Amino acid sequence: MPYNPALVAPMRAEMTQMGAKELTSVSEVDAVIGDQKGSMLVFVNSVCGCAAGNARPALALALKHNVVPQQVVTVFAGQDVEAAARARQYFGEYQPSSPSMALLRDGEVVHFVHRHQIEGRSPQAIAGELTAAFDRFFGATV
Amino acid sequence: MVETAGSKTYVGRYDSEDQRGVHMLDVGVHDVAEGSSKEDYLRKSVKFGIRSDHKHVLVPTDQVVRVTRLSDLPT
Repeated sequence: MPYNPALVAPMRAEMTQMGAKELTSVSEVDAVIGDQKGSMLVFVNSVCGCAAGNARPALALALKHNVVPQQVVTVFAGQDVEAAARARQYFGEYQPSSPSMALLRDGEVVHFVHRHQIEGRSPQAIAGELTAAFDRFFGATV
Repeated sequence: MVETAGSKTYVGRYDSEDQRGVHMLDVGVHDVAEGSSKEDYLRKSVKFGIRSDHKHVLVPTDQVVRVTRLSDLPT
């Protein structure tokens, strides 16, 4: 059962304030992730305080890096249930977990950050791994 | 990840521990007795995430050999 919208509103706002586009329906997910071109980060948001409470600030930090995905979008697991389920269909064999982050390039998942890689780690540590992935997968090729 | 004295290894969310054992949530189970490689199972779990076979598992205390963060395993 979804949480009280008032409870999750600050968690949604934290994402949109860093520039993420919220996808709340299956049609929005299909329109944005389906036939995706370029680089994209999909953040699967969660009410989980111990992990999502670090993952959101980590992403905000990482997005200050000089190499970032062209698009950042978010779905809210346990809240926008159908949209989150649809987004996960684009993640191939990566198992669902929340919070989590998928880095896509031209529709293919090139890197995935699972909940087990977020939990118990500082935002700075998570951001460090994210920026390394941005450099590796989204950096300019010479 | 909880390794046991038996053939099973559990991966999932460590929830709590009491006199009965270790409680885990959203748990995947690997049984070496079924013939597949434990290392391969763990490697896939690290990369692709945990395929949850059970919502909750209690691993009895006398079976627990080692508890390790999945994120501490090499990728």
